[in-house]
Parts: sequence; structure tokens; C-alpha cells
Amino acid sequence: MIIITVANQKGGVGKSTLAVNLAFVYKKQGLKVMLYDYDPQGSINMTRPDGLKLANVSSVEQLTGLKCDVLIIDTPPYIIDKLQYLLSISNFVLIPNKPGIYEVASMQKTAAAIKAAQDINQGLKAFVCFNEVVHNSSIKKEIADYMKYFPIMNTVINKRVIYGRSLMNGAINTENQKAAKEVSALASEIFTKMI
Amino acid sequence: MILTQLAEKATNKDIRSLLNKARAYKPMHNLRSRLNASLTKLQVLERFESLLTDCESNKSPMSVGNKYNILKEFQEQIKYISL
Repeated sequence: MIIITVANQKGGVGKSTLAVNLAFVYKKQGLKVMLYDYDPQGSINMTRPDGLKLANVSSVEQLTGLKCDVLIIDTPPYIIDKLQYLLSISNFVLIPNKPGIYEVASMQKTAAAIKAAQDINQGLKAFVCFNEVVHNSSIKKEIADYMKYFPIMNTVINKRVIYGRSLMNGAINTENQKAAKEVSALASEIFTKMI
Repeated sequence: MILTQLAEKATNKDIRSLLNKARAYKPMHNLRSRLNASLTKLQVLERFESLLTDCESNKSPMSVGNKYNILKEFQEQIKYISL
């Protein structure tokens, strides 16, 4: 089982939206996917995306016993006690962030938690993904110079209304080819980065 | 770094097994036959990594499902050589 945790202590950067969209891409490719919503906001548990299986466990320690190909874990917008454990069982941590100076500056605690987890789980890969990027802007390149904590995914998720509209079925299942293409590219790149 | 270790520790059979998972992707189709013929294990793995990285920009990119199979095989081999 491949475990992908989506984490950033900052709220509103698109963690749940990306977690759901990635799950839809992997599902469409025939993989058995489960989503685990550890965020007390419960965005995913509340919306219950169509056809996606939500992990129903009474404690996080049971997550490794789940039977699926890919488990995607959504985390809350603050540092939680169990974050270290979740990172210790993960193969990949995706850190969505908006391309802004304040957003990058606010990553310190998340970065410290991930670095600490990497000391224990040496196979843990961590990458930042710029989300809600204004199309055709050079902002990603400008902000990338300030991003000293982790490498950045090549795939950028642009600001698109479709992401807000497609939480129940995923952008991959809509007619918006541009959105489908970029979430697919992100899902694919995550696997590449683990090799 | 990992590829260098893999090239040192993995057998030809291991690497063929990894390349087998990627065979469906056309640019990697003949990589297996080049192992030890025209390329060393390390050269094959470097080519493999480069094709894998570039495959998103290919007109017919490798499917995510195919990549998952490669990733699983890769993880198995890494686990094996680090024992």
C-alpha cells in the first residue's frame, strides 16, 4: 500500500480538494483507493465524494492494516499530535501551498514536523505543490526562490472554478480537460517522485 | 544514489523484472534487451529514470496504473537490497 499524506498547517491551501481529486485520478486508473479524513473540519467525511471509499478506523494505528493500493490521508490545518505517526507510516507527503510569500513563510512548523519524521522514516518523500496558481503568471518561479524547505513539484494546479464544483466527482471526471490533465499529471508525478 | 545502489546490488533478473513492469510504455519497450548488450545495469537504470521523469511530457504518457506497478516493484527491490 502506498500512503500519501496531504499536509500543511496553513488552512485554505486546498488540502482536502487535492486529496479528493488525487483519489479520483487513482481510482479511475483502476487502483483501489481509500481516503482518510483526519481533519476535524471533516470536509471529506461531510461531502462523501461519489464512489470513493473512506477509511473507517477507530484509531490511526489501524491505517496500516487497510487493504488498498493507495491510501490518501487528509490532515487538519494545524500541527496535531498524530501527525508524526501519520508521517512515519507515509511514503509521500504532499504539501499544497499557494504561491505567496506569507504562505511560504508560514510553513516553518510543517517543515519542522516533516523533517523530524524524515529522520525516523528515511524513505519519506516530501514535495510542495503550488495550488491555485493564476494561469500564465510567473509567480511560481518568483516564489520558488523563497521555498527553501522542500523541492517543488513540476506540476502546478491552476486556479479553476471547476475544483470547487467537482468535489463530489473529481475534476478527472468532468469535461474540463485542462483540470483533468493537471490533476492526472500531479498524481503521476507523485509516483515518479517516489522512484 | 539509490539507482547506484540498486545497480550494484540487484541482479540482472531483478532489473529485468523492473523493466518488465514498464514494457507497456513504448519508449521503454526495448530497454530490457539493451541490458548488458549495449548498456550496463546503471546506464539502463539511469535511462529508465530519465524516461520515467519525462513521460508526462510525452504525447502518449505512461498510465498512472502502469507507474504504480513499477513503483511497487521498485519498492520491493529497495526493501530487498537494504536488508
